[in-house]
Amino acid sequence: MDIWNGFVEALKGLLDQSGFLALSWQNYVMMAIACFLMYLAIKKQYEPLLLLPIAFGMLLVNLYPDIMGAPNINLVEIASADDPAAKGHVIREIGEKIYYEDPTYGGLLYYLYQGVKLGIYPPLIFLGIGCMTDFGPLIANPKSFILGAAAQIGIFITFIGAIFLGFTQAQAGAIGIIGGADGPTAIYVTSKLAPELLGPIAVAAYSYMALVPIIQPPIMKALTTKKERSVVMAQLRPVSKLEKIMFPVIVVIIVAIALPSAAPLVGMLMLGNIFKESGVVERISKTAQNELMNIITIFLGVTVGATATGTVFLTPKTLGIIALGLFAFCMGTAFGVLFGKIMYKVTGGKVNPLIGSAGVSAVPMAARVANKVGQEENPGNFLLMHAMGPNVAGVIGSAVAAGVLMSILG
Amino acid sequence: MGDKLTLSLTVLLTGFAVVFAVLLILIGIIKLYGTIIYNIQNKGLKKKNAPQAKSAVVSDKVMEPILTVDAEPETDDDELIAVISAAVYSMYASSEVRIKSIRKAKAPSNAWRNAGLRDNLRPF
Repeated sequence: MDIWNGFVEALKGLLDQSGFLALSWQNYVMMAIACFLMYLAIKKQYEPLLLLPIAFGMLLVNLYPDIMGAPNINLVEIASADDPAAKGHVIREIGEKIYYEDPTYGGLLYYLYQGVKLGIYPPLIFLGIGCMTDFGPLIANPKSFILGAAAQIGIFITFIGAIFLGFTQAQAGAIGIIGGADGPTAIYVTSKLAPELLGPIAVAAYSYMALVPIIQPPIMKALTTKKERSVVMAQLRPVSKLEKIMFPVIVVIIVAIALPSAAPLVGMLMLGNIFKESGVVERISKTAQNELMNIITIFLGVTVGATATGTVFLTPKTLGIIALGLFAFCMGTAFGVLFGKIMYKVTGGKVNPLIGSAGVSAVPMAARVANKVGQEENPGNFLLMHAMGPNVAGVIGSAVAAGVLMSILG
Repeated sequence: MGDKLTLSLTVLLTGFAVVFAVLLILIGIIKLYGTIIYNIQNKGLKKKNAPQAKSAVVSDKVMEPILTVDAEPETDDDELIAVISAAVYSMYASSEVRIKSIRKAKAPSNAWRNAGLRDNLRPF
């Protein structure tokens, strides 16, 4: 009989600990959302490198919330400091009572999440991006910087929208940065300004980046004429190795002096780029753009996904963030194209305004979309390299915009 | 309401101004150093080429052409001829080459080229 009772008690204990009783309905809804995101990542291949770990992190944290649990110190009351239970523990006296400290450790993802919380992972991702980016098209045509800057206007306009929708100024800044279409930048700014919104903002940012080929073309076509879209641009001049080596040094000096808060992102981007362009540290460059970046991507994706618990994610605010994020993205594209049109007029028709849309980072997808829309008018028109200029300028532009937001709102 | 509007416009104006200012400074500096490096490297090239040019004239007179491309001329575009000549001289690393004519070659099978282009330009 004792064995039977023990068996029933053990089963009851297991049931109490299991997810069947501990989880709320929000957790189950989040699991369904996580499975849907996994479907998008695997079947539709929407930014799978990040969406898949994000979705799985989301699934994990909603199955077992303690995996993100912070470490804690419980105070256990004892009769005297000599109590054998307190052996090896820190003893504290509060008033008349004596306690010993009984620490509990944080969950696995809590510790990995510190890289996001402390702003370590996004700059390391930028290091890898720097190793993979060729700034040649931008150096050959520095005017592309104007388009990279224009596309950032969407960030600041969305900020206004978010403020009037009732978000705090720090939250509004984090939401606006979705318009920069740069995942690491969005995560970096959000972790500094509004870490409580990290889950919804990361999901919105990466979803929209994956949807660039669907979101951008209608805006690009609506704002340009057939004649403008057909412009064939002159071939870019060749860029010497010396120019490419000097570029990261000059950019980091200017940006870090003008806007120190953008230095971690731009600094690591340019460090990666000088690894690549110098040609003398090929091993480091390969590690930064492959192994290191892959490792960081896993940690970043899983832990950002793990911030999306049911109680945080399933609120009207998330819907607001998703709507505002889309608005930011569209505004960024629109302003890029509009400034492209201005350059078209100023240069007497030498600039194809479509390349302005690539100013919203999302490298290289946005440049490929500009090329594709251009080829719909003229199949022999290759805008890819021309669009890469504003595209990589957009990465620098969004990092600068992030620095502005953190300086003003941080 | 007034506070929100003030904050919004401050952030919009500051953001717009700072992002454009920083990137405009970068445009100026990149253009400047681009021009300087271009000039320095061109000067270097000219210096290197100067003695060679002299010998080219001499050798042209004495030497038989090493490379000739027999064909009817199809173009008189000076710029195109200059580019092709430069490519030929660069390939043979010698000025003892005389180009007699330039003809458009029959396009080789470009399946690989097309595959590469498609792969690079595929938007999604």
